[in-house]
Amino acid sequence: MLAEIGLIALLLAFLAAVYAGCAAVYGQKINSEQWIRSARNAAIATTPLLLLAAAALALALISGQYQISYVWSTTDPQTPLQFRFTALWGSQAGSLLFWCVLMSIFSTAAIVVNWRTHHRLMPYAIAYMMAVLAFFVALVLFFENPFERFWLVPGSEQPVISALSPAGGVLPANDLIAMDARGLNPLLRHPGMIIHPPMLYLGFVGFIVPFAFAMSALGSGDLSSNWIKATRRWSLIAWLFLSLGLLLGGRWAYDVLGWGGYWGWDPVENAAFLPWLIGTAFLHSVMIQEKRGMLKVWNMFLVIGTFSAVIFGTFATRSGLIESVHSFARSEIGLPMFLFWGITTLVSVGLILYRWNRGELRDEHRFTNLLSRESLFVLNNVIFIALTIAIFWGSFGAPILSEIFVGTEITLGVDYFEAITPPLFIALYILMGVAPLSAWGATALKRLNRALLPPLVLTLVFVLLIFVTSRNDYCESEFLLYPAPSSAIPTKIDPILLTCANNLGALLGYGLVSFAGFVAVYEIYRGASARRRAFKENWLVAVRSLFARNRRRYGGYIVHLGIVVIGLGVIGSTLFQAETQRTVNRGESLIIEDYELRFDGLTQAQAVDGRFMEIADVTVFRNGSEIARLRPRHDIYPPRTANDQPMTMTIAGAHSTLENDFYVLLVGWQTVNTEQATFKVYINPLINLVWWGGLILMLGTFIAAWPSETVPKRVRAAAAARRTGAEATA
Amino acid sequence: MTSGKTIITHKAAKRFALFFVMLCIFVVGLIPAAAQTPAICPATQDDVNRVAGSMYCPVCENIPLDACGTTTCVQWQNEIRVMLEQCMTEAQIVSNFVQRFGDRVVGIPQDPLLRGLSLITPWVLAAFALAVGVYTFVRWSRNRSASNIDMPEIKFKPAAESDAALVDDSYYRAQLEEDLKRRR
Repeated sequence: MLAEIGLIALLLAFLAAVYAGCAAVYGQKINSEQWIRSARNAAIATTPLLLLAAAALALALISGQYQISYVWSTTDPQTPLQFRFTALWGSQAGSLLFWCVLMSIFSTAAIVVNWRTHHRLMPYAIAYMMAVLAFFVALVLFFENPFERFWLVPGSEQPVISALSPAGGVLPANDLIAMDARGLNPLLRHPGMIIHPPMLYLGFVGFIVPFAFAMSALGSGDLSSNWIKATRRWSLIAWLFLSLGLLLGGRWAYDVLGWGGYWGWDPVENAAFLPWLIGTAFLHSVMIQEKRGMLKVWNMFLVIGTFSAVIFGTFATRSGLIESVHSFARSEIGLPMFLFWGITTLVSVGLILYRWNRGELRDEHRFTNLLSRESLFVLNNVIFIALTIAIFWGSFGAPILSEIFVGTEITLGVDYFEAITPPLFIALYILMGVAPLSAWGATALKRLNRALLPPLVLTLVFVLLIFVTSRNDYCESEFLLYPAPSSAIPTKIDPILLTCANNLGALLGYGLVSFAGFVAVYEIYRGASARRRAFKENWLVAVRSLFARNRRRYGGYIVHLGIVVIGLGVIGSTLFQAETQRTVNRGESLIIEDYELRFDGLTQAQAVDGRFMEIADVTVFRNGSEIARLRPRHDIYPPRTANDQPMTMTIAGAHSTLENDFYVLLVGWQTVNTEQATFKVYINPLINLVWWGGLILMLGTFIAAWPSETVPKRVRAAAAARRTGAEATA
Repeated sequence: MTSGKTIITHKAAKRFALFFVMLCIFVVGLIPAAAQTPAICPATQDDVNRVAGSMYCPVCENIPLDACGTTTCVQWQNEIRVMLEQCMTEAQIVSNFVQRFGDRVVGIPQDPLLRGLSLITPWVLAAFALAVGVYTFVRWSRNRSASNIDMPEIKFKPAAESDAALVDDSYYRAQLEEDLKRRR
């Protein structure tokens, strides 16, 4: 019954989306408000219909309806409730349906919120949003249907999988089929998976709103800044979700994949990072159009580029184009998605060129000075695009082209990305520091220098403090804090020199990153102290008023602070990560830096979901004092069928402080007497700043996106008072 | 007795011959083994991981070799250990794997052409993007100079004020009026 409900809801949602798109276009063509309203209603109707379809699937997962092939392949009778729910996005078909639900929610919200204020753009916006939605719902209906069921058909030994009942087909007994249900992929049985995919999908689908409004502007010819005003907040919200999705994905990888890191420059990670980069460039350059009426063509390219990157990332992840721990299995949706991506991008670019040729995207102002905020923002955009190109090339361009033209398969891994991206990130942090201090239009060099002085002094003091407190660790002493692994293997570069260069590089990195942070703090301080002088407010009130009066600007500074904190965490955890791997007997210890890990014993257990666990008990000491007891473990999921292999997960034990993470993995053990085990231990300095930075970024984006009052409270109060006075007089 | 002695002698001769043959086999076997005896270079698991960290096995999904736990990866790690113990350098080991399995096993290809293309192309593309940016800026600046000749100088005002003053919305107003007239 649930399968039928889901199927019908899905089909109706598809029809509603197609109707909404067509009615919007027709209504606009004949200037009929009735048709446009009808299109709006149909577009809004897609949300409850898709929610109904998703609810039907979720209910089927929770109640264990294993006759539905998707339920059978993602759960089993032992699956706990929370993972039954997350199984909704645990595989291709369900996650596509979930994607459609989120896209329709975003579309409906954008239509409802902007219906009055940007009425002229609405027919086009509805048409574009519904065209995209209809395409994705069609993928779910015709290629990856989560409501397909097993049918026993006379004359066939194997059950047939079909959405509709084949001739003479009967459903197999649920209990019987439940016995060999596959269960959720062990990699997805992590609390992070409850929230990471929804965040990432929200970030992806959220960019449909700015894209649709940009296309509406191009379609309607209303090329003023209206589309930007309509979508500014939507872009910020989508960007926030995408940022959170990336950070949570990093946290999931850190906890589950068992390699001591959070970002492996994997193609799927990069596919999600590309829209973030272009979207961030867009969020900056859009300010120039709002303030100065410039970069109209560029902004169009950026918003279309962001959405195009979203569709490409989805295609790359779901088509089997790339192999990754994050990607879905090879699927038939590759070709339609590739065609959709190509057509969408070509049509969008074609529309821009059409309007551009007609001279309708002419800028209202000109650049006046190289040292202006808009010039620096343009430079910031160039660097974001350079980063996008470099990452796209490393993840997709080079491997695919080399296979096609040279016939050689290559992998551009961490080495490539660590060689190419750091200079670009450094340039971004420098611009993050300088741009906020420059003025719109033109900045006098003298004035800019004066503004730069306090943050520069603070940065120098900060760098000196780091240098003095760890002076012995740099180039002067043999006793390096983070020595290169002792080794008899000859290498080209002296390890001490290498570490020395590493440390000096880190010092420079800390300086550049903290400079951007000090600029943000200094700007907030400058604004608040100006208010204190002007209005005699105390610090707290001054800061609050400052943020309330210009949420976007000061929210942006908080976002910059978040990025700075993340940058400090990335430098620390990348350049100073220490690791060792040793086999120890029970009661013995291994030592890494000033930490000691003692192996206390190994226990074996079986969880209620059927997995076997090998759990090591270890005690961690620092400078002789016990600081933690950890239980790193191996989870072994037995094979479901004779053809399957057991699946093993390495779950780390970690002792986290703001200074570092002591992260231990159980790599191997003696199966006979459990007296010996092999551990891989990492010290990850400052890694928690990455997560804390994410929280600061979230706070800043909330502040920036929070709606401001259209009419200030005091003006409203005055108007109300005038009305009351007039009534009393009357 | 004699015949018995002879039998013993024959047996002893046979044993001696067998012993001799075995000795020869052992010595012949020992010669190449002795020639191949590696200089002992102790290698820890950390050394193995350091080399494996920059390599990828062709069947794993972009997971570095040191973090990969599949049977193939474990075999490759053991192979790296053996090579390290034979005093091979990191570069030699990586080259050995590349020769056998192709450039896919390393993070940056070893082949000079592929390596060059991989590393230089993004910079060329980025330089192109920068050149487009600079060209656009120069063009804008020239346009500004040209337009300054004909147009009266506009005093710089705060953004919101100047935008309101400068944006000519008569076209949009006319279009809006037309739309309203045509709308049923």
